[in-house]
Amino acid sequence: MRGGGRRDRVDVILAILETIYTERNEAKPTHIMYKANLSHKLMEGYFTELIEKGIIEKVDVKGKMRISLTGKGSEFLRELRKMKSFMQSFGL
Amino acid sequence: MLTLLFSPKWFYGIDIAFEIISIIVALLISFYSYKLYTISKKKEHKYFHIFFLMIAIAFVFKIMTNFDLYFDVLQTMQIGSIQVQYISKSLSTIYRFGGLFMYRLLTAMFAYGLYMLVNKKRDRRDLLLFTYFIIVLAFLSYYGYFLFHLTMVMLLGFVSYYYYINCKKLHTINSRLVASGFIMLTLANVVFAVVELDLVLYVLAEVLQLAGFCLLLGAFISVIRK
Repeated sequence: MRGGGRRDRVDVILAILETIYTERNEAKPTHIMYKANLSHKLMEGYFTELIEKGIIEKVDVKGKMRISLTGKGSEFLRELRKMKSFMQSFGL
Repeated sequence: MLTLLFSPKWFYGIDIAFEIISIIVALLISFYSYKLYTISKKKEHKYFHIFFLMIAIAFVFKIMTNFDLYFDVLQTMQIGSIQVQYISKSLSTIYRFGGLFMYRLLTAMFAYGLYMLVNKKRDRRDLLLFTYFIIVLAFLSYYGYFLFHLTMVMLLGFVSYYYYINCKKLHTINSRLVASGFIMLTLANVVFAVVELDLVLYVLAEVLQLAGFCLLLGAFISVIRK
């Protein structure tokens, strides 16, 4: 993201996955919403897409719903970090 | 007679090898940008993929044209005990004109495309106007080698400046490599523009161009290996 402009999909997905990763793979949906700076509607849209693609999953932790990364999701997060670095280095 | 060949004889083939390395680097960056586009769906990433694909195809045209020119110069004929070196006319001037035209057109579109991309220019009228100028440039530069390279110096100079600012902002090794790569490509075009002064300058320009693409490769590998 440059100069506080509109974030792109890579930035948003990266923010979601980084939040899950930093919260030890058991993130509260509300935490993700705040840390990724998303509206509830937008967050649900991203969740649906990422769950369909097998990147994240909803898990039950002591009766409470949490979001966690799947094995594929961890790999995807590593790939997204590389992509972000590529975008920054090449000024995209 | 038009001079199309500036390379010293000992450098024949070596420059083609240099160009093949540049093609590989351009294709790696192009395909990675496409992969990025499949996730981001951003037009910028799609255009970045297309522009690097263009420069890779441009080098293919350059190799084809150079190969034809070198083949002509090196072709020899044995008549009894006498060996005669002659210029073959097997492939027409149109082929060479076409090859050089495509090389220069695609290279100029690569440089202009990057210039538009880094400067966030989106005006379609500008795009149409500059596309017209690029076609005219590619056509006319057949008769004036330096004209094409001076234009490339201008365009790549602006692109390099953008990457220099980006590098100052980020302070990362990768951004330094990218900025240095584009500065090298600009310098290569400065030398290409004056190549008629001495054949050795062609070697220097090719080395600078290779160095530019190797620096871009360095940045790419550094990102991928993280």
